Amino acid sequence: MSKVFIRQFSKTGISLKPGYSTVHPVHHLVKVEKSNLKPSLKELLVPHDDITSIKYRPYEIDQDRIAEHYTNTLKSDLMLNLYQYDADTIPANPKRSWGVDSPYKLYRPLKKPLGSIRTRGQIKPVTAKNIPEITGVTVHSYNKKALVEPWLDITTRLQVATLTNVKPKQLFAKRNLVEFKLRKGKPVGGKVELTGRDMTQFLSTLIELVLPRIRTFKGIKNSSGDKKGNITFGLTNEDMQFFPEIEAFQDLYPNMNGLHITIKTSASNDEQARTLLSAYGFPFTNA
Amino acid sequence: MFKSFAKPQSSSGVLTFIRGKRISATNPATERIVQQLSVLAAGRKQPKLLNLSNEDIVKHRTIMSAWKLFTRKKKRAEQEQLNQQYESICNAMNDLKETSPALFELASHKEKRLRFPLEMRFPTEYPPNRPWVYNFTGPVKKRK
Amino acid sequence: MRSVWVTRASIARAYSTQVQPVISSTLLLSRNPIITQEPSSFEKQFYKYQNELWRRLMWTFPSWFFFKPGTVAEQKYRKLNKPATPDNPNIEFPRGRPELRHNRDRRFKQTISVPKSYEDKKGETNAASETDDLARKIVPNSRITEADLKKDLASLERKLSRTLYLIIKEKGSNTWKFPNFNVPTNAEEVSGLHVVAEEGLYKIGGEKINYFNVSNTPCHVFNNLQENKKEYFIKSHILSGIFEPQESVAEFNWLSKEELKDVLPAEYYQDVSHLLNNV
Repeated sequence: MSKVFIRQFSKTGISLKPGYSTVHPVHHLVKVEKSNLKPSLKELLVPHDDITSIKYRPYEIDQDRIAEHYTNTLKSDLMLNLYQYDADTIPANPKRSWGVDSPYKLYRPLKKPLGSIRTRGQIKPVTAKNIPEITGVTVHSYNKKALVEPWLDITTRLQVATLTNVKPKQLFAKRNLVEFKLRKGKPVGGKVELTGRDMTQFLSTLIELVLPRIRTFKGIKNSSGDKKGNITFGLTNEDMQFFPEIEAFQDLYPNMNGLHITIKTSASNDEQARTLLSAYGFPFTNA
Repeated sequence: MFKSFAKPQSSSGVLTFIRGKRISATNPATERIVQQLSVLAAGRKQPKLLNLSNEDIVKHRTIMSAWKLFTRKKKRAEQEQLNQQYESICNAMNDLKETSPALFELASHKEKRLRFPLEMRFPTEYPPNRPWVYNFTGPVKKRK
Repeated sequence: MRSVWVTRASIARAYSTQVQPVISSTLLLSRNPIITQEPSSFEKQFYKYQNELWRRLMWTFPSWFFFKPGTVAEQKYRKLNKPATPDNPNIEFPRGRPELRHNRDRRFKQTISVPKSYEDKKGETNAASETDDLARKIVPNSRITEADLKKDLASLERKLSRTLYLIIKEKGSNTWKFPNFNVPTNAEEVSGLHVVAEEGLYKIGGEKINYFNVSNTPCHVFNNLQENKKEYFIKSHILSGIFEPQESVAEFNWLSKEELKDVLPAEYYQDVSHLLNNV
């Protein structure tokens, strides 16, 4: 009996039974995740907020005092504070075309935006419907010592997990650079993306317990920001000891690594984002 | 629990097993890293999956839809109030522009850097020992 | 936006034949909540339900990492947290066989008791020594303050979970209102509405007030037709300090939204109610 290849939606394999495929062989241009088609992995397709899903996790587990303060008090204040009479939408500042009069110009990488290196989205006037808010926090810990001592990667990820209560994603080195001992694909730390209760928990720890106790911390720089309303600042490895999760167990975490904390906001420019963060109690400084 | 079972030990070329005896497979530094990894990893720490009865699933869904209704109602009321407040600001500014252009200029002037004061704190679950600070000496010229 | 323009036109017409109205600035001075709101019974129940589910789905606490084997802390921890009954094929378990992993029955949530950091002294309350003792038991303060019990409406420590607004009663007047100050007309240099409000506040309440002016922009205008007055509302928060009433003020109160409804004139309250915080 000759071998027959049966092509199904879920699998392709040799079938010992005689027959023919009812599905035309298509060389997919769109990438198809076969696990989505496999009958035995059906339970992975249930949305994660459904209780029958294996990934279900409740999020609204207690009263969120930070979010409540924002909706009750800060939102209305920010609206008044950021109000501008007769404000118009400032158009975006995208990358520019070189022209279309020659094929060289057509396929050249786009020219950088006018008067700036980075692009910027359009700035809409703040109304009752688009008051800036914090949408997420990214905690990112890159440990360059892990390039030499690979076990430091585990320590760094554990530290991030302890601080944020979320299992971090593995970070890998992106390119080969001999002078920094970088090898592409080497694990170098972890990062987490926080939203909801985890985020407010982390923010309140940071604002109320950690930052006030760091003597060298004068404030976030007034120049920080990526032009799109996301503010980043860093904490050094000496600052880590002020986190209450780590404070009592310092002997368990002998190799601390600093953090980069990015606060993502829905503000359309950095100045609005800084105003929002100052309302949350982050100090700002010029130095 | 992270120690492996005894490995065959060789003495004078003959392998001897010591049944049930555990030895440390690694040095203490490695063991510490293994322990750290055990904190991070899911192995043997995950609870059993929820296996709710149909009745419980219906109950859960009822609770969640009630909660959704509750929050939606709350959010809608909040948004309604914000809309009114925004309209009120627009109204006041339009009115002021007609009534007194000089005052309007001053009212629409914005500081370059708008910052909220650090004294504005998040409410806590229980009040501090002194709920209110009374000893404020005098007005400060410039607040940051 | 359409409605805004319509009202604006009507106002202009109404005043065209009359005397120019007096411009004044009204201060909406509020004290923000100091403690969280009391959640409703539904919210409480919902959070309890979600919290229990959350705990049920939590990973096992890695006690071996935080309590090093062979230490006193570990002994104390083990004494407080007895391992659950292990599975035994010879025993019948009517409610299902236990599945122990790391001393936790993975069918249920894990409850952990931690050793106390203080000594329980029964009946002994020496306040003076306890305030300095680091190993004292931490008892949260009451959410209801003395001012609440005394019903002291002029205290800033009342109703800690609510936003309170300052209202005053001027001498010779019988009505409660938000502090209102006329913009001087004959001054050489025009000062903004927020400046007028600030100077007025210091005049009626002394200079020991630390407050934050939210914006120079007024948040509302109220047309006081009886006095031919335009009241622009300036929003601000008191942060610390004390309001000490000066000669011109007969009485002052710090009231929440519901209390303001009973005290302020109905028409006035109706006009400004959307500015007041429900919390």
